[in-house]
Amino acid sequence: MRRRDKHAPNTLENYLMLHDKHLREREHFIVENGIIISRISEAKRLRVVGVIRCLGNTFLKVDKTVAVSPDDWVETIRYSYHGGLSFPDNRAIFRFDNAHGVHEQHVFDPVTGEELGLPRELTREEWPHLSECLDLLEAWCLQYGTCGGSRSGEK
Amino acid sequence: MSTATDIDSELRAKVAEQMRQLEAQRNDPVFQLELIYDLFRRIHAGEVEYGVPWQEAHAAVRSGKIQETHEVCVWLMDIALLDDMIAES
Repeated sequence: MRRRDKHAPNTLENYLMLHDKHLREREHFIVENGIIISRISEAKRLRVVGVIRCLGNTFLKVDKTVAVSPDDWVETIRYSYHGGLSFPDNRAIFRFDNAHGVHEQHVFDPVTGEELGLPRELTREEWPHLSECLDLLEAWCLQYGTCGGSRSGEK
Repeated sequence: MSTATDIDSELRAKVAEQMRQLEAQRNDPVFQLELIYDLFRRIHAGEVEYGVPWQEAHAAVRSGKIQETHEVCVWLMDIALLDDMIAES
C-alpha cells in the first residue's frame, strides 16, 4: 500500500489547524510559544518565524517559508529548525534545514554542543515537521537535560 | 472541564480568526511595505555581518567562507524570498 506523502500540499485552513493542534498536544513541554505567521502577498508566501521556549531551558528557533497557491493550498518550501539549550550555557542540540537547497540534519555533541561531523542529507520521508522537532527536543531534554527530574516548578 | 468538542470549536474559531488576519495582511499595502522594508533591512544587515554581498551568499556558505548557523540559514531564506518576489513581479 502506498503511504501518504507527509509533505504533500494542504489547504491553508488545514495547515493552520494542524499547526495549532500539534502545539496544543505538546503544551506539557512548551513554556512560551513565540511563533508569528505573516502573509507576503507579492511573493505568495507565508513566513512562520519565532522561538518556542520549552522546559529544561531548551528552545526551538523556527523559520519556515510556505508557498501559497492561488486557491490557498500551502506547502513548506524552505525551513530551518534549530533546537538548543539557553542555560547554563547557550549551545546547539540539532538543526534541520534546507536553506541552501539540500535537506540536511546537523548533529551536535549533547555535552559540548560542538557540531559532530558533516550534516546528514535527509530523505523526503525524513524532512521534519515542527512538531517532530519539538518531540526530538523533548527526548533530548529527558535524556541529557533536566526534564527527567522533578516537574514541580520547572515551568 | 473542557470537552473535546469545546477544544475543537475553540481551535476552529482560532484558525478562522487567523485566516481573517492573514487575508487582511495580504490586502494591507502598509503591512506589505513594512514586510518588504524589514526584508531588505535584514538582508543588508547580513551583508554587513558576514562581509558578503547577498548575490554571493550561497557560494560563500558552500565554500565554507561563512559558517552555516541558524541565523545564516535565516539570511539565506530572506534572500530566497527576495528572489521569489523578483520572480513574481
